[in-house]
Amino acid sequence: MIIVRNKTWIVTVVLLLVALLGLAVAGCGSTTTTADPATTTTGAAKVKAGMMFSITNPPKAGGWDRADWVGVQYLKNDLGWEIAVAEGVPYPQTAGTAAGYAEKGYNPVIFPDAGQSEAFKSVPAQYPKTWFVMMSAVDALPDAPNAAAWVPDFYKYGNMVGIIAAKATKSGKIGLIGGVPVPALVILFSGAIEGAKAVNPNVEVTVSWVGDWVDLPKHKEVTNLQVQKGVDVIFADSGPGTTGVFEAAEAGNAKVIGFAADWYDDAPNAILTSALIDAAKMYKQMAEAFSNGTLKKQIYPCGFDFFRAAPFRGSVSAEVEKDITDTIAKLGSGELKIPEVTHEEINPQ
Amino acid sequence: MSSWIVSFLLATMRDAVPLIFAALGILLAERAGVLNIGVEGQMLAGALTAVVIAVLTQNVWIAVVAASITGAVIGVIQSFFTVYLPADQIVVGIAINGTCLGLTSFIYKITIDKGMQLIAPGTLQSIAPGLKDVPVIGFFASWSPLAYIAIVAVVLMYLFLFRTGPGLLLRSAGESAHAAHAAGLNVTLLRTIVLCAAGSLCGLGGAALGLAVVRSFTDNLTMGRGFIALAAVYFARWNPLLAFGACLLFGAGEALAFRAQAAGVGLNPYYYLMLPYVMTLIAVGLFGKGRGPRDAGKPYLKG
Repeated sequence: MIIVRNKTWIVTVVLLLVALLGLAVAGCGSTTTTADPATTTTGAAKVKAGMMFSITNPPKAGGWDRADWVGVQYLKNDLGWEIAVAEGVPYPQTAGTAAGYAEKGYNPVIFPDAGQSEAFKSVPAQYPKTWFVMMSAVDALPDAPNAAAWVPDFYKYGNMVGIIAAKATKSGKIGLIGGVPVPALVILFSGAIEGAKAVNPNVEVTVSWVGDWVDLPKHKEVTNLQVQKGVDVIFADSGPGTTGVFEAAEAGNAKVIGFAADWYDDAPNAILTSALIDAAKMYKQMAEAFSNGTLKKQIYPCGFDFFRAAPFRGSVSAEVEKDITDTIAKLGSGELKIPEVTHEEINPQ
Repeated sequence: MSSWIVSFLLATMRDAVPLIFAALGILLAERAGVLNIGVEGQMLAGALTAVVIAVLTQNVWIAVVAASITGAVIGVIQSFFTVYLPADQIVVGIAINGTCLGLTSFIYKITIDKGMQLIAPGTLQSIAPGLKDVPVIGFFASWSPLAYIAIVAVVLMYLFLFRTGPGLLLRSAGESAHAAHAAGLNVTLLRTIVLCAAGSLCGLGGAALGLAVVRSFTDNLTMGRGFIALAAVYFARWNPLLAFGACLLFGAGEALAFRAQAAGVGLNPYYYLMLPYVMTLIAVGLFGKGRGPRDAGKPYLKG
């Protein structure tokens, strides 16, 4: 048996190894995606933008972050911006990270997540020479001239989700599963309920909250319960835990409408379609306004022209698919009018 | 039985299985005098190993063994710090949790960046899915094979600790390491072996979570379940049979939380989601004030 007599040097060596490992991992945790110089606009100063995600690995995470990542790729690959991305930044540390970007000369600083709205409201006043942009839902802009927001109309988006679900269900029961009942999600689900009722007044809608965005077993359990109630079409707006929704839906022969990005590759047997949000278009508008010097303190609304359904790939009959597509087109043209109702009862206090 | 009750009981068992393995791992280590705060990290490492190996080999049993070995390796590392050096057991446990959280997330990111779809085969989700609709038998056929292994492990652990000589020696190392040493027991070697076995059980808990409850992995998959198992052990006064009951109680709380929400009683969802934790608190409050092994947490220095 090894008997360690001189422990000091062993502890020192171990600590050094741990520190080296930590540095290596830390180097991988935060990424700076630098554009190919060949694609950078000739003559124009390269834009250095900073942004932070609350989760790790946004391109493979869940929900909104995936759509945002498409926007990031647009800024990087099409416009040649240099983007510094911090991943896994907890909400309480968002303000510090955003301030750090501003101090290092990153401009604009982008908030991709509605959960970062407190930081978005507190930091801009401290750095008047830097633009701060929210690319998600926010109720109001901060009291500073250097802040703007691109906000999707989640109610209208919810209408589209509701139409798809209500037209595709065979049991007449649809489910809405959310991670956490944040205001944007309550609005989205309200829109989905009204959208579903507008095309199928007898449809039964079940709303469930998981309580977090990431707990896979809990997402699976919530979905199992909905399937047991006879729900056969589910819309899930959550984070990395969405994988649990797919598992349970596939086992229970239910179909899932993916949120924001196309989820088909993740669960080809469970996906009905995905209700897409054109994040690249949002980022393009923001980048143009920033580069042209026309960016103003304003909430830029992103309406129905930012939304569309991903291909159904045979998940419903051609007849149902056409019916869905036509109804969505009527919603977009204004021919189908859906009243604005906020269902506060889905998030009781 | 109504379908609601069957579904509730199945969910209870499903949620409890990972906790049972983890609780046995904690209990074994603490009975020998070492606090196993690193259970969360060991479960995480076990879960990732199980899912990755299951995807690569398409054999869930190889994956379970691999998860168990991973937990054992972490147990050996833990024993180096807590038994041989010996460093503070709580600090080492916290460090193991932090390191495993970072490393599993890092490895997970690498695997999916390389295009690997981490969807494991679902063969551990129930022991005989073809019989699930048969009355009575269907209920037991819907259990994971790991649930049966967990029950056997609980009974064996109880018999070992309280009905065998080696079990008595192990407990003596946890009650008074110096007295055990004076009686001729090699406490250092014993604790090393025990930590290896405890890590292996915690790794199995992770495998149960990654293969029997779900069949995939994500960052921080365990989400504090290791600490719930820790609470179950304290509530159960370091007794395997009572720990089994405590894990079932927590599983029932989690199963009930979502069912209460689905019933639409009209309360804020967070009230329901608090249920398992509140039940644990109440249980500890009602049955608490148990005394753990006297030397648990104390570094053992010869001489």
